[in-house]
Amino acid sequence: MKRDLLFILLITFFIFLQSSPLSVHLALWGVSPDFLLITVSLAAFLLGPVPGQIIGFTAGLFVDIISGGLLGISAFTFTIIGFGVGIVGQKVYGNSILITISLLFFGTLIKAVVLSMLAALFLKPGYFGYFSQGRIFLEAVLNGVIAPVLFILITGVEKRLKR
Amino acid sequence: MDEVRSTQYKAIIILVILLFISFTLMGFSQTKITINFKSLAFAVIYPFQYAGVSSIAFVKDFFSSIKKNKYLKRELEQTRKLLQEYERTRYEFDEIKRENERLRHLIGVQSELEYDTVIAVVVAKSPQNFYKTLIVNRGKESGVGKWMPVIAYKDNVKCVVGKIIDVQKFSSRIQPLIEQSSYIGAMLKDSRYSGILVGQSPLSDNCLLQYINRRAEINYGDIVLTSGMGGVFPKGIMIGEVVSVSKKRYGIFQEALVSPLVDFGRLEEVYIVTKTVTEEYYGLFEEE
Repeated sequence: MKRDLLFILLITFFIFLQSSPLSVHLALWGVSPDFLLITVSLAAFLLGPVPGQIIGFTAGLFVDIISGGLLGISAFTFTIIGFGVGIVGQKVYGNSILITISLLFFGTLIKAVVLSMLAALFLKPGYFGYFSQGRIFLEAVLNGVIAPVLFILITGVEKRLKR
Repeated sequence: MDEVRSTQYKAIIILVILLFISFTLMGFSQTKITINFKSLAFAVIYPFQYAGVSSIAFVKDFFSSIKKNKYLKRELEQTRKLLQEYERTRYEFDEIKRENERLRHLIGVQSELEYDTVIAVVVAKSPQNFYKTLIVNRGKESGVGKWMPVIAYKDNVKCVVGKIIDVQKFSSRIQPLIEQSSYIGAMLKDSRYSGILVGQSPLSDNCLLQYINRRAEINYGDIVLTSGMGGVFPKGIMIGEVVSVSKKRYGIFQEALVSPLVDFGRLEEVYIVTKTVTEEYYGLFEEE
C-alpha cells in the first residue's frame, strides 16, 4: 500500500513538473526526459503487470487531459508499457540497473511506435514518422540514463518505509 | 505456478479492458460528450497547475527582488530621463499617427492590426514531447473565445504563436502553429505569394508552407507573414523565416520549410487578440 502511494505521489509530482514551464530547463536539445514513462515503467517493474498497467492507464489519462490532444492515446500507450514492463520484470533476473536502462530505452521506442500508429490512425497520417525521429532516440537515451537514478531513489525510500 | 498463471490471466483481462476503454475514448474523442468531459477535467486540474506555478513564481520573485533592489535606484534615474525623451517624441508620434490614418483613409485601406489584446501568462504546457499545447491564465472571464489568434513579441516584433482551441472560465488552451493540426494562411513578405502554413510537430519544430505558386522565387531567410486568409489571424503578422525550399519537377506548387520566430520552449507571456472568429468562416479554411 505504501509502495502504491509512493508511485501515485511521484506520478502526480511528475505530471505537474512536466506540464510546468520549468520543464524547459530539463530539456536537452529541446527534448525532455519522460519522467512519467520512467515512473510508470518502474512501478510496473517493481509491482507487477496489474498495478503497472492501472497506474499507466491513470497517468496516461491525466496526460491526455492536460495535453488537450486525442483523449485516450497516452492512456492506451502507458497501459501497454505498464503491462509489458510488468511481464518482463517478472521473467527477467539479473542486474536491476542494467535491466531498467534497457527497459526504459526500448520502452521509449515502443511508446513512440504506439503513439505514432494511433495518431496516424485517429489524427493524421503525418504523425507516423514520429518514431523514426532522432529526437525519440535522444529521449530513449535520456530516459535510460535517468531510470537507474530514480530506481535507486525509489528502492531507497521503500526500504526506509519498511523499517 | 498456478498463482503466477492466474496473475497473468488477470493482467491480460485488465489489459484488454483498459485498452478497450482507451480505444473507445479515442474513437469518441471528437464528440460533444467527450469534449465536455475533457473540459471538465481540465477545469478541475487547472487550479492546481496555477497554484503550483504561482508558488514557484512567488519564491523566485522573493529572492530576485532582494537582488534587484539595489539596481532599482539606478534604473529609476534612467527611466526618468527616458520618460522626458518619450514626452517629446509622443507629440511627434501622435502627429504621424494622425497623418497615417488620414492617408490610409485616402487610399481606402483599413488598418490591419487594430485589435484589442489580452495579456496572458503561460501556466502549463503539454507534459508529453508528442504534443506542444500551452495553457494560459486567461479565459471567458477576460473575453477570450475559441479560435482567437495568439501573438507574442520577440525583439519588439509581433509574431504568431497559435490560436485558442479550448476556453474555460479562467484559462484557455493554445494550439501553437507548430502543431500538425494547425493551418494558417500565410504569405511571403517580399514576393506576396500566399500559401498554407502547416505545423510539423512532433516531427519537427519548423512549419511547412504549402501551395505556393511555382513561379514564386523563394530564398533562404525570406520572411513569412500571415495572409489574413482563413479569418483567424489579422494580415501582416510575422510568422518566421524560410529555411529551405522544395520544388519538385512536376506539379504547380512548391513548398518551403519555415522556422517560426517564436521560441515555444521559452514562451512566458502571450497576447490574445480578442477578435470574434465565426466558426462557419473558420470551417471553410481549416480542416478541423
